[in-house]
Amino acid sequence: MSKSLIIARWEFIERIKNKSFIISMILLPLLLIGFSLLPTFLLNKGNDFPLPLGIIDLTKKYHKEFSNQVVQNYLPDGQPAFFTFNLATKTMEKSALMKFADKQVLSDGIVGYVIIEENPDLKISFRTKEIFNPDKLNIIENSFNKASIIVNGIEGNISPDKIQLIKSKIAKIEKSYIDAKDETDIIKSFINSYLFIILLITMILFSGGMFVRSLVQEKSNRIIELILSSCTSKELLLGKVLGLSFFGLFQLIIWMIIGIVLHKTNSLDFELIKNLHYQILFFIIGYVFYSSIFIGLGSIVNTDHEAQQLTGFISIFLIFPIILAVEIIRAPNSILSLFLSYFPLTSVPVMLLRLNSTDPTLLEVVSIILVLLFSLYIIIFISSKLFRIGILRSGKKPSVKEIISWIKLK
Amino acid sequence: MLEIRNISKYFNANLVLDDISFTINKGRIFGIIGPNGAGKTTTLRILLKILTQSSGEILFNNSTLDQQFFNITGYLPEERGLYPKSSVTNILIYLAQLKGMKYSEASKKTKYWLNKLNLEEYAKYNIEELSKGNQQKVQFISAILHEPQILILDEPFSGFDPVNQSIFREIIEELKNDRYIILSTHLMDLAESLCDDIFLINNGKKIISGELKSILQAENRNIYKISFQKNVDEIDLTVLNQSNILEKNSNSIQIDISDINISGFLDKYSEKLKITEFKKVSPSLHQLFISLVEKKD
Repeated sequence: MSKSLIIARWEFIERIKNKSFIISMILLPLLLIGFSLLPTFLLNKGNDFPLPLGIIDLTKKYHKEFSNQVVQNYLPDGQPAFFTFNLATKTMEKSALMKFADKQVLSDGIVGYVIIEENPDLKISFRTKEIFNPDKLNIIENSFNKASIIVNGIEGNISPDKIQLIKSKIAKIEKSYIDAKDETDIIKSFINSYLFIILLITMILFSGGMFVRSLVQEKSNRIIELILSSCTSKELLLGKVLGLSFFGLFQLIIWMIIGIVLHKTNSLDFELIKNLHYQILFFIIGYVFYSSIFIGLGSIVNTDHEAQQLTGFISIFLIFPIILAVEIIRAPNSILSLFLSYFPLTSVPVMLLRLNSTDPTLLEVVSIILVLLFSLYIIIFISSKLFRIGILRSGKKPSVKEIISWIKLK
Repeated sequence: MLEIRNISKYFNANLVLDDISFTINKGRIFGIIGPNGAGKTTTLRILLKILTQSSGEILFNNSTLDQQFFNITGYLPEERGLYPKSSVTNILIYLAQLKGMKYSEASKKTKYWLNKLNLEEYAKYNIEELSKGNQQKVQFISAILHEPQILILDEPFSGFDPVNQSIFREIIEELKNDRYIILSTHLMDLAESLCDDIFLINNGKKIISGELKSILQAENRNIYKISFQKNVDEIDLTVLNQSNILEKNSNSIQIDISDINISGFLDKYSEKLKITEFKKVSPSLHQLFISLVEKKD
């Protein structure tokens, strides 16, 4: 077996034996998904300002009273919780009205809309695009029930037969979502959009961080010298890169197995992931790209503290596109999205986000990949130079001038 | 035969090895000796191909070093360390495989050496669970497990307790018969008792090299031991030039008499100083090193 393969096998086995590997494999992605979903919930929880609500009253009986009732619910600061728009002013088919209303929701003109219909029982449904605050939904439901009682003239002395009538007129609100079947569908599509980027960040930060820490340890306890007395620095570098790649591949396979299990149990729908093939391609390139950066910069650092600083520095480029995720998904072909797609350090995470909301042309994908591959070549060139010199260095951190002189060395 | 020919090494603009040459023969222990920072470790790293020389060449059996050279060298670095979270057996097998050994052979040899050094019960322990002395034993095993033709030991006894020191001295003596053993040290006593040949180095430059015995004999013309009846502290030695006194013991001194009229001195002071013995001695390596470095400076 070649020495690089012996090193690769050692690196791989030592990493998967690490307890933190198990934590990273399962807990970290779950945490990331949890943290990603949290803002959505908090956003709904915290939207204490009047919300624009559409009404499509196909019965033509309830909308006025419903509107009166709903605007009489107040926020803590005294403002009404909702203000309403009657969307059924024109004589249109239900489907045409809904299409119009959906557009209003998608463009954030209204937060959602209520459909009131009698067919023959009274039915009320609420349609929106994202998970809706359940307290606010209760307000809508209660307001409609009050309106229903008033409209049906059943206040005061109620006879038993009329109670039955009231019951039949009280509608339980039904929820429906634009582009999704139900709430789990929304969560699923959210996870699908962020799946690859979350996996990429988890893998890179975990395995890259682990790699740098092990390199720092090897440098500080001088075992690197022992290994370099057995093989060339090129063989060592290749072995480490291979070990890191096997480790990444192993994580990917485990996640793929988890994905297939989730798919079989209908928790994950691969068809919902747009451009799956491109996403996998960018994922792999991204892993190799960022791992190469870790190898180069990891050779320079000498302490755990410096290693943490380095991991933090690289994660900026990975997390920055997530901060802009809403903007990138909303306008995947804007100048900002395109610029970040071609900028090598943000290219992969941005593409993983864009591929969920747009279908880039083949030419665009190829040109971005070419830019990435060219950058990868330069990074591998620089990293191997830094590795060759840096691994034998200990003590004080090299200056920028020294690093440049290492790169220039033949 | 391992030949180092005209090796120089620059780190940036600093010349750390200046045109050094020496030859190492099989079956003999070769000591590279000098103070800290003299260039010993750099020389060893070049020998091991960890560093590349700026100029000069190294020949083994008249051929330049190839990739195979990695497999025939064993190395005990000065700063010791192994993977703390890995087991003793795994790490020894891994390092032996890197030296070209097959797994089965490496496994067999690991068992042999662990038994020999009373470490068999720790075979599955992680390195961090061992005492410092046992960690040093494991590190030493890693240098010799693959039965290298060339064994390079950088400050081999640094940090070793006296028990381990004597164990490894014996092993080194055992191994030397059919091997090239190179050790670097700043401990002159150790070098003197263990080495057959030496290369004295200071500030990257050769001071002297050759067979230790011959060097000491060649340099021993003017060193004498003077023993006194009384304790040295009670004797007025001001009659002597203090710079000539090389060593003071409780009842004796070693003195360089190069610039002293010794018969005149003895006539005048043997009675007064109660001299009981006056004999010629070989200089210690330490004395030799000091005098040679001073001469060079």
